[in-house]
Amino acid sequence: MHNIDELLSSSAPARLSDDTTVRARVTSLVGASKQKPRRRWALIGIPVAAVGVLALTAGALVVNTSDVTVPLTITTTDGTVVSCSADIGAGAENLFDEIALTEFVRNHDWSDLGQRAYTRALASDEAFESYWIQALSTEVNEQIPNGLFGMGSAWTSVSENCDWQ
Amino acid sequence: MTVESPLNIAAFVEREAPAVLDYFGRRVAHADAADLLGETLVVVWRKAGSIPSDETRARMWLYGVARRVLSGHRRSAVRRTALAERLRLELEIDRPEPDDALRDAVRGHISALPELDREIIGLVYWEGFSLAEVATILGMRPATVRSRHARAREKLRLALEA
Repeated sequence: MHNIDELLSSSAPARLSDDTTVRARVTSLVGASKQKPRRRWALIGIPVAAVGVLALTAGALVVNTSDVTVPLTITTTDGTVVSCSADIGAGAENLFDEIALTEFVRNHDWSDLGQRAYTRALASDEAFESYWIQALSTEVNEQIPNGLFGMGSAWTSVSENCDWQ
Repeated sequence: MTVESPLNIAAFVEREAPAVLDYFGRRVAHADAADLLGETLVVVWRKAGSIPSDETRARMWLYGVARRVLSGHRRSAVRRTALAERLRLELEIDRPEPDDALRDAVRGHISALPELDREIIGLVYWEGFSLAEVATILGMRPATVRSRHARAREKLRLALEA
């Protein structure tokens, strides 16, 4: 008869990290991940025309990291099609709020974001180009359920590269 | 007087990352473990200021992150990175284990447990955490974890004796 605790302990699947190549790859991944926020923005490789940030609670620490890049296709009032993209990031001071929030941002269907932001910016009393990024930020935040902001500080950030010339 | 030295976070993460990969590899397809580790590291660096300075508590914090990343993975895809992709390719190599009918039977009974009980059993017997540590990782009351562990362990014992 086997001891139940010994049986359970010995049932552990083999360690993937026992493989020296796997371990080396993990070490590389750890090293690269430390620089990830800086590299990610560098890798975008296109000028960021404007950055809009909406801090949902005063004092929230805002870090420019993108969780998802959304292609924007906008048909303007004169029929011109503008294609560009927006980077959306989200975070929260509370770790578990942050995981839920970033998961939502990454998986939400943002397909009509550009057109809705365009319509909102046109309807504003402010000049279109100065209000555009605010319209985009507002559209993003209106899509996020309030419950995902949790009890603590949370933020979203949006950057875009649309050319309206 | 006790002087607490600050935790070297970079060294800590580098030391623990292989074990976190193993944690994922025991719960999802091996190749997916690479993406989950990458995702966990993103959260860890973003939240580096929140890592407890005590190494034991830091380890529980790290597995708490891993556990929640894993929960998210079950509902959605995670982002891919080039280095995680290289690790993923490495993990796709088949690593057959020696035949062991008893071990397979134990794993089969564990996999039939409710998800939370399965996680408690895994963290205790595969990852080597105490019940108090498991309670912290899962954000549960220690008494609840103790009773769930006792019930699950007894269920497994009876199943293996049958």
